[in-house]
Amino acid sequence: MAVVAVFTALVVGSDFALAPFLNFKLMDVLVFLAAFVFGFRQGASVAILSEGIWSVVSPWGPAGVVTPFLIAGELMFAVGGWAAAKVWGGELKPVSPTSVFIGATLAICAFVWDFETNAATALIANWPGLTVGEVAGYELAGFVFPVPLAHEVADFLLGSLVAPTALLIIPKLRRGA
Amino acid sequence: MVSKGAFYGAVVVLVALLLFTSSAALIYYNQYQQKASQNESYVSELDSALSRYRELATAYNSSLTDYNRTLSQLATAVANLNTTTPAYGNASAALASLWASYEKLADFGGRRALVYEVRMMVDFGNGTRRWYNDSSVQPGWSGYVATLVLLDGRLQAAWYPAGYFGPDTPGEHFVSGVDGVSQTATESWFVWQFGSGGWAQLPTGADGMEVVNGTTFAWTLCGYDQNFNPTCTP
Repeated sequence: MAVVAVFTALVVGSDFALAPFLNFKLMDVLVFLAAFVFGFRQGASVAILSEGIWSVVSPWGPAGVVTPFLIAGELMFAVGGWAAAKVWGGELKPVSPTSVFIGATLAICAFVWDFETNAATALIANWPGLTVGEVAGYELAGFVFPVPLAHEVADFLLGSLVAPTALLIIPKLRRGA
Repeated sequence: MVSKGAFYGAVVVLVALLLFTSSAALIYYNQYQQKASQNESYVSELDSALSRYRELATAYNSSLTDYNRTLSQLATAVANLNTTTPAYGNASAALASLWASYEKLADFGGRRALVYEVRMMVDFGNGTRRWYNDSSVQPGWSGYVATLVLLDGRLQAAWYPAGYFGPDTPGEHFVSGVDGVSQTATESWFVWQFGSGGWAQLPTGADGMEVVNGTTFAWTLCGYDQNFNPTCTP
């Protein structure tokens, strides 16, 4: 419970702090880290709570009906963190190929997040007469430079540089506590 | 033997690279689509503008033809109006500028107006001669109208309608002043045309002179004998 509260606070706080920098958020990495270190349930809880809160208190206004889809997209990072822990949990070093693997995993999650939220926007805008063509149109319209690339590249860099170090420090802090 | 973690890592990196390139491709495809759409819009606007331009050009050419016809009718009117009427004064003054304006408009339209090139000389009888070379006139104008236009209306004349000098005589102008110089008690203005035999006085006067391409004619202020024959030549 404390872990979820701390991570959620970190996510929402960092979101406010980084509000001026569009497409650069620590939320994805923090959810990933929570799931990696503490398991899928903890990571998913952080994802649901932090995205749920941010969707309401965001300085750009409430997200509205798209919120469940944003949460679903954020859950991808929890899944990614959990899966990465299963595969590379025992091979972590600050500078190693594993760092690149983790960054790549986060980049994939970012792509899925973009794709899923674009599809959700199409669904909401065209409900109930949604067609595949309309979804494709929204996906295409969503891929406007530099929005998706910035998201994927930022998550890759954070995943490669910050996450491995954090993944080594967090367990030590946990033991220290 | 590659470890399971390294294998999955390689797969993840390859998928991430694929997604990076896919994202970049989608972005550029999106930009391409937008540009293509803008291009179609520009082409459509251009087609529309071209269509309007063609309509305008057609209307312009039609107006130019009407202008030409109007000028011709105005010249005919000036040639037959009583010179003492205000209408004559206004029309003769306006004719030259209207003709110049017509030539410019025809040039703007990319086509040359159908004109005759003429040369006119004015001999003031005191040694002063003034040439009007490479001047253009409208086909169908008489020598009188051509003079009126080349001198910007600076022509004094009296109009004698048809039949004034006897049965079957045409209407004609008696020119008493050219380019601001009036006749005197002993000198009068005579009109001449240059032909194969040199200068010849026109018995029909300027009104009866048929102006064609290359016509050269002259006005001289001369003394005259008892039969009103000029005592000088150009």
